[in-house]
Amino acid sequence: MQNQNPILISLSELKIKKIIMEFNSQFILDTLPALSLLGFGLIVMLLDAFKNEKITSVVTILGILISMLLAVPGVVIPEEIRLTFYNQIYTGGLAGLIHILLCLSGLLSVPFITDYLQKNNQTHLQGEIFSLILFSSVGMNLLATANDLMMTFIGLEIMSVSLYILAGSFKKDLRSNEASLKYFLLGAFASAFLLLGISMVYGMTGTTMLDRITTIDPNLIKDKFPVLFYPAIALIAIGFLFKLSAFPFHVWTPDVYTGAPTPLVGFMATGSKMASVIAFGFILNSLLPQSGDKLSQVIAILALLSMIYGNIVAAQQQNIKRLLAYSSISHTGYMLLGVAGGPEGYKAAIFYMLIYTFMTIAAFALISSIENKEEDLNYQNWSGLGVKNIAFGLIMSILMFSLAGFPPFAGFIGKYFVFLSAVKGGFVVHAVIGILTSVVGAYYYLKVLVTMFFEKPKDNIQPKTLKIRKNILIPIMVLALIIVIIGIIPAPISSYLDILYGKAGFLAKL
Amino acid sequence: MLVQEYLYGYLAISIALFVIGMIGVLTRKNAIIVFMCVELMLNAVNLFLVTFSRYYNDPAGSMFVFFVMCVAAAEAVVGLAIIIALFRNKQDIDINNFNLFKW
Repeated sequence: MQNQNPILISLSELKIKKIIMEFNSQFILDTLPALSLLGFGLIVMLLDAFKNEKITSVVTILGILISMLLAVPGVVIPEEIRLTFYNQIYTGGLAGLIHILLCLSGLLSVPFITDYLQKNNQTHLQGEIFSLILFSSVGMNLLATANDLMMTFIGLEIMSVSLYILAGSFKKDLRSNEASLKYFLLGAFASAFLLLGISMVYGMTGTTMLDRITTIDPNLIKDKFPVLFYPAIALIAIGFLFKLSAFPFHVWTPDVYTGAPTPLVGFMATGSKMASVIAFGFILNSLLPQSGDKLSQVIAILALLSMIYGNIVAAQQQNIKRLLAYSSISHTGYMLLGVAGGPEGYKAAIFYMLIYTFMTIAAFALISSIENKEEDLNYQNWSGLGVKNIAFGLIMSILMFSLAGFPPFAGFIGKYFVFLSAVKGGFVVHAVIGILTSVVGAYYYLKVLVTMFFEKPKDNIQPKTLKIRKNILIPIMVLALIIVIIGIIPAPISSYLDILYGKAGFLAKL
Repeated sequence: MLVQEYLYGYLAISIALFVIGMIGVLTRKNAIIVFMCVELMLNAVNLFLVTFSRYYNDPAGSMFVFFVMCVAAAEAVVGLAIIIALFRNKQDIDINNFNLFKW
């Protein structure tokens, strides 16, 4: 008996037959939003193979919309969040809303990517880029709604591997290649750490299911392999903080954001961060019911360092994409402060992420509209641009004010909720310092506007294309409008989030 | 069922492999070797998982290893493609020479 293979014994114990019987149509219905994204990704690939690149953008938008609609029923009639697919992922209620929010970043960036590819005569890339965006969205969905750490890892990798390719999608452009290589090597390195952390959790608890881990007595875990406890959490945190580009793990962010094709950066910066923030908060909260205090303090300090570092370094940047990359590090800091602030803050972080998605996608799309050569990205060359091109100047002002957190724009509301929850969670000092760093943030955002509006135009270095092309002007204007509207009346969205959040039993008990 | 003392031996090996891989990533200059070191780290984790799977007599850990192998294969495909794309443009895969952007 001793030498018998344990796996064989266990498999017979598991009664494979019963598992197959358990598989029912409900599983397919529950996972339909993700499955439809996957299906449309394959369809787009096939369309590309048969030389129908032109319609791929329409099919992509259609696919994402259908996938969002499939998640709507569980969200409109607020229902309990529940486990499905052999307890692997969550579905319904808040999970449905998360799916819709994650799809949003893909949906919003499609028109800008289409236009950017047309401008650069790269339309043949449409098929592969859009199918990768769809696959990446599937990964985000799995990552954010996973209950099993194995699912978390797979979702994270589906998401990241697609993003590595997207960063390098301009094959002949050395900058794009370099961005892709750096992203890939560092990303794979970080996911190895995450994986080691997950395997340590498995070693301590004997399971990878988060709902089961939460119910195990924490003292029991600590007694068994006390050495593994803190390393496991630290390693998982490293993996996620890397994806979030939080302070000590931010090195890749500026280079990747500068090198990758501009509208794609908008997608990379928003969806993947939202998914990682949601998964990170969830995993941390379920791993640590007892030492949550200590841990949330560490997270709060890292959040603080991200804010300080991101804002101070961003103030010295000339390249607008690099500036936004460093500012995204500071925005990560705000989100992490939310995650550290307990369940209330977790909600604030999701809300902040939603607003950040609108702002960032619009900002990168707007930059891509005037970008023809590398020098166009240096905002010192934009002197007088705001007066010459009113639409560009106006929308850029809305975005910059919103990113800086001025009322009445959406960015202010997002920051307000995050800092409010931080104060409620006992991080008063952190909140005060955070607000001070956002004043530094206001300096460099407004410097861009000052250059655009109050400096005399220098014709020889100004970007050649001043007109925003028609096909992207309307989407950008819609985004700007959404930012203003959320800024003026945030109540419907935030109270709706409250309702769903109340139904999300797994979060409420944390 | 694995005896506890053997368990620590296997865990030590897997952590050692992981650290070797980590040092390789941090010190080597050739992009492909750096990438190989990342793969070594992933495989070290596989050993870790299999050890605990055996210890708990639980197949979930062994199943996890299959998924990790699949993911590592996918990463290998993408990574080598990225390195080849770079090599075509630059004829060089020394990561110290990729300095278009200041760090």
